[in-house]
Parts: sequence; structure tokens; C-alpha cells
Amino acid sequence: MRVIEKEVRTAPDDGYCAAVAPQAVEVGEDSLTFPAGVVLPLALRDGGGAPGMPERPWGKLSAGVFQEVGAPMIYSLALRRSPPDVLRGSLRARRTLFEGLLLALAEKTGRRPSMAEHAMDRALDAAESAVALGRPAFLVMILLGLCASRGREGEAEAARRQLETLLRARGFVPQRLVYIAERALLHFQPGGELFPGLEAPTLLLEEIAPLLPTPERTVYPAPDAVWLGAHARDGRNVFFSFTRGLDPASPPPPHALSLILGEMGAGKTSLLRLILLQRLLQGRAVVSLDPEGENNHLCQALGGRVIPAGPPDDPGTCLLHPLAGGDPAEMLLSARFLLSALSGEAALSPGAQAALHEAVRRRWERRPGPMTLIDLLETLAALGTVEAAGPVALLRPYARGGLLSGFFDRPKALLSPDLPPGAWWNFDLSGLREESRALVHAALSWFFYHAVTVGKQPVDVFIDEGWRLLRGGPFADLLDELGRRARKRGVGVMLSTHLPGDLARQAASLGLAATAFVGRLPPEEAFTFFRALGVSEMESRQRAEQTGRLPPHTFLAAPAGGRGALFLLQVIIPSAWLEFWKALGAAR
Amino acid sequence: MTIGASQDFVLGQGFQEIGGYTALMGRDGSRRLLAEITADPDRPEVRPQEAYRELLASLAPGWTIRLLQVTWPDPEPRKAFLAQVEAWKGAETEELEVLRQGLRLFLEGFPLPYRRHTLLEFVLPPGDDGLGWWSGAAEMLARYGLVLTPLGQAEILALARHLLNPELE
Repeated sequence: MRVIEKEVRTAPDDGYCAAVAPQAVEVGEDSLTFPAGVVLPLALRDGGGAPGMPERPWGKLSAGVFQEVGAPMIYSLALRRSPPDVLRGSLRARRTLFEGLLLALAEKTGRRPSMAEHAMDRALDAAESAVALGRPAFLVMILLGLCASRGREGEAEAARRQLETLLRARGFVPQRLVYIAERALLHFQPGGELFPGLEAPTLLLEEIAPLLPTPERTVYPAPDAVWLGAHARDGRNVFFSFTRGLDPASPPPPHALSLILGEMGAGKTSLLRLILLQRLLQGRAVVSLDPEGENNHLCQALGGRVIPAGPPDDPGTCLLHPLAGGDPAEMLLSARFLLSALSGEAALSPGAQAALHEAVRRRWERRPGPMTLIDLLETLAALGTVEAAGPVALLRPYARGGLLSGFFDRPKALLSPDLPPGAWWNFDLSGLREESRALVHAALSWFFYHAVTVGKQPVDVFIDEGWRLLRGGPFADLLDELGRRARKRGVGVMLSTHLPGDLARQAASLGLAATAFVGRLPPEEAFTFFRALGVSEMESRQRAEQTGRLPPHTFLAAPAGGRGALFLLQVIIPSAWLEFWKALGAAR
Repeated sequence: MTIGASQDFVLGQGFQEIGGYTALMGRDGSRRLLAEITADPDRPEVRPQEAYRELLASLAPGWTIRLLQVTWPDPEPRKAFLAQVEAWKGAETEELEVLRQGLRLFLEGFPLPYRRHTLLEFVLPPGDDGLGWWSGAAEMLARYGLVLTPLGQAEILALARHLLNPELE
């Protein structure tokens, strides 16, 4: 063992040397130990043969094999292009000698060449011809250094053993540089010895290409990004932004709608919450549609408001006050919207519209500003016309004193178009009844129009178990409208579902999802979805197979616009958050 | 046990400016040009295999290059995100503040990701041809979605320091 300490030299031309020299290095039998880490070198030998020979093990090796062990490493591939004349001459000489030997053996002993000898002869012939025809060949030196921090040497050693097994399985002989470990240090550094006296085979370009390492790059979070987890292959941190997608260096997503897909247990709700809560922490107003009521406790614990799918329990509070407007025209539009939402477009006959117009105009002249449903009803009744009778009859159950006044006409309202920044309103749709579906839809439509579509405060919308809503006609239309308008309004919309087929059947805006996170799904469903995203058929098939095997909380992230740049994402939720959810009964 | 000078292991001899690039002088008298290759391998337009094939095929006989991939901790994206978390203004209730702190502490304690830095080292041959090839290599790779960024003195020093003093924490 040799321990080499850093020596301070004073020679003026040694600035580079002094700046980069190891603080100390211990050259072990087959390892290099530094003050903060260890490097375990590993080289490989093939079993001989000729360049391009299919029986050689190089066809079974790629740079990806080295990454399979998942350990930090230095991977060095030095290449010197062989001069064709020299290489051809050398190959010709080898072939001549080899064939001469075979011929001599045949003549002297009558022995026929074996199949291996035939293969070698053919390979030498093919290599010589390939070089003669101008195919590039290279002298190649591959050297690896498995790295670990001090105290974790065992991890590097385990990785080296694993790699040795992988190399042996492919027909290589791994070499640990026993007693010559310092050659790795001399080789790895910039300006180092690229061919440090170890076996360096000659390979054709086609054999080398798979050995070349795939480059990566650093991806920074966008200013409004949220944490998602880690890239399953590279280990880099993954962030997501509604406005910039998964990579701010790429063009922004063409749409604001993002999807989370996956079977039950894939981790959809956890991912949705992870994003929702971070948006809330950013000060963003958040609205969630919660068909199962799973987020009620969490919402309330964080100071949010739970909106029921029906009249609130408090007799002094209704769902919303629908007659809002800054001028009589807006007020009239609100009145028309309410009437058509409650009774369909047919209720807006020309006579009914004229009556509404007259009532709103009179009321505004007398008392400008907001009006209640009972105000409108009384003004309509005061008109005393036949045309006013229809709207009066339709609106009466919903006006104060009516049996359905809890929806729209009580002194206070749960919903208002002005969401304060950082507010979370969770629509608990678990109590949605078939009889009140149209009413709730009307309330949601009104709210989304005023708060999201034309509201001043930017809002994000999160829809859990979206399949329930996608199957209901009016809700699907509502989501479609949201999808169309969201991006222009700076609204982020995120929808989770386990039935991507429902999306494919929806109107265009839902099909144009910007970013998708696909968890475990049956391959055929995943395939259809990827194809709808615009991913090629071959990649769709391959990715669909992959999604069928995904473990929980692992998603295939499909960045915006179906551009095919899919990668595996491991969603990582802070442990404190999980504890918090569990304490609230909001997580399993 | 032998006690010696670790500086003997350093084969670089300082820098020289050649044709607008920083070359590292080797102890063997060679001049090395270095560059980092970056790309987003998840993007379909990025085709490193084709890029490398073209790069290698364009080398003249006798020329030497090296592709070096070095694992390096990559704390910058995390740091940038943590700075954003510090500036988030939405934690108005105690519970939300607990969540914000929980996220911050979790990320501070979560192992740093590594990034594989891919470097190209070119042994500059005598004459002008090598420098011309080096100048054109960036455009050649760019056609396949790879970005080649020549390294300056500071970057080469940092790389050499990392390789000769490996540290992963």
C-alpha cells in the first residue's frame, strides 16, 4: 500500500498541478482511496477475435449495462482511429498467417479446420474487406471507476462485483487493475494517459456506437414549479409547472389541462394532493372537485371551505347568490343564465326574455346593485303580464320561502366569484343525488364561469376521480369548457381518472391534454391513450407494456403536446405530509 | 508503505489558448481540448447514437478522442427550488406553514441527485485540421439535439479537481 500526501511545491509553472492534485491518495491493491471517497477501477478484456466478428462479446455490451448497477462511476472510453493502411496490412498479415497455418495443418495432418477456425478466417476476411472499403475502425480503451463516499466503500465494492458478473455473462474478462490501480488515476484525469498499457481491442464503428454514453443535462424548476419526485432512470429531481410543463427549457405546454391516469392504488390521489397543496402554499387559489369527499378533512384542516352538493346545513346560508352584475346588462345575463340553467333553454321564450328584461330594468332603476332571487320574483310578479308568469312559476321554488331556497336564496352564500389568494374550496360531490344533479351543475357552471372563466383571481382546478364527472353529460361539457378557456386565463386544470377511455370519447379540449402522468394501467387502455396523445405506434406499444407493470407511485410522465418525450417518474411525498394526511384519515 | 507526492499523479501541465479555445497541456506534450456534451435523452429529436456515429466517422486516421462520463452531485435544481419554497407566500395558517416547513426539511435531507456529466476530450493533432474539426463538432452534434460546450480553464480545473479528489456528498 502506498499513501501519497499532497506536497506543496513552489515552482512557478506548477499552478495547475497544485490546484488539482489529490489532497492525499492511498493506492491499494485494486482501489484508490481519497480523503472523501474511494474509486474502484475496472477494465475488461474480450476473448480475442477480429474486428466486427459477430462471435465477439461486444455486440452484447452497451453503455446502459454499466448503468444497470446504479452506482456513481467514472466511465471512460478512449478511441483512436486506426489508419486504414496500417490496419489493413496488419489484418492481411494475420489472415495470411492464419490461413497458412490451417493449410499446413491440413496438408501435414489431414485435419480439417474446425467451425471456430472457419469463423475466425471469415471474420478476418470480412474485417480486412471492411477496412479496405473505408469502414472506420478504432483502437478502444474502456476503463471504469466505481465511486463511493468514505465509509460506503462496501456499496462500490458490491457494484463492482455486480458489474463483473454482468461482464462475465457477456463473455468478457473483468480486470481490477490489481497492483496497478494508479493507472486508473493517470487515465481518468483530463490530459491523462488515454491508453495506459492495458489491453485495447480494435473495433469497427458499429461495435463502438452502443458503448458511447448518453448525455444528460440539468433541468431547473420553473418559477411556479412544484416538486414531484425523481426521474426513475437518471435520479434527477423532477418539478412540474402548469405554465412551463416538466422542463422550462422546452416550449410551454399548448394547453393548461394535465391528467393523472392509473388504476386504483396507483397513487393518483396522492400525486394530485402533492401538487394541489404546493399550489396552495404558493398562494394560489385552488378549487377541487371531489366526487368521493376524500379531501374534506384535509381541506378543513388547512382552513379551506367544503362546499356540499346541495343546500348547506346552515339555514342562513345558500350555495350561491346567482344574480350578480355590475350593470343592468350583466344582471339580465345572470337572470337569463339562471332561468335556462334551472329549466333548460326552452324556458327562455321571447316573452320570458322580454319579461326578464323589463323586471331587471325596473329593479335597477329603483335600486341599482345586487339583487336576490325574491327581489327578481317580486319585480316580475309586479309586471302583471302573462309572459312574466312563466319565469315566476319556474323561479318560485328557489326563492326565499320556497322549498329549494337553500340553493340560491338565503341571506349568506358559500360561493362567491371572488376567491381570495391562497383559498381552497373543495366541492364535496359525494352527496350528489340524481334529482339534484342539474341544480348542482347549474351552481358549478355559474361558479366556474364567474370565478374561473372571467374572474380576476387566477385559480387552479383539481378534479379527482374525474371519470364520474366525465360520464355525466352536463359535467363533461363543463370540463370541456374549462379546458378550452383555462390556458388563456392562466388557470391550471388537473384531472385524475382510472378510465382514460372516457377522455378519448370527450370533446376536443379534453383530448388535448398538455401533460399526462400515467400510472399502472391495463396495456390496451394505455396504448389507446398514448396513441391519442400522438405517440408513435411502436413507442405506444412499448410504453403501454411498461405501464402495465408500474409499481405504486411510479408514473410515466408524458410531457406536453404528445411529443413522445416520456420518462418514468417516481413520485416522492414528504414524510411529514404523509403523517399529516394519515392523522386526518386522508391517507391509507 | 510508500510516502510520495500526490502531485506526481497530475499529468496536466497548465493551459494554452489555441484558436480561441482553452487547451490543457499534457505531460506527454499533447494538447487536449475539452467540452461537455449535454442533451435531454427523453426527447425524441435527440439522437445521440447517430450523432456519435457521425462524430467518430469524421475523425481522421490517427486522431484520438475520449468520451468521459463522470457522476457528479447536482444540487443546483434543488437549491433553486428551495429558494422558491422560502419565498412562497401562501402559508397563512399554522397547518400550511407546517406543511411548508415539512417540505423544506424533507428536501434538505433528501439525498442529492447525481448527474452524469458527459465530456469529450480531443487530443489536438499537429496542424490546423484538428482545430477545424473541433470548431465544426458543435454544429455537427447540434443536428442531432446534442449541445457541445467547450470548457474553459475554470471548468477544466473543476473537472480535474473532481476526478483527482472524488467527493460525492
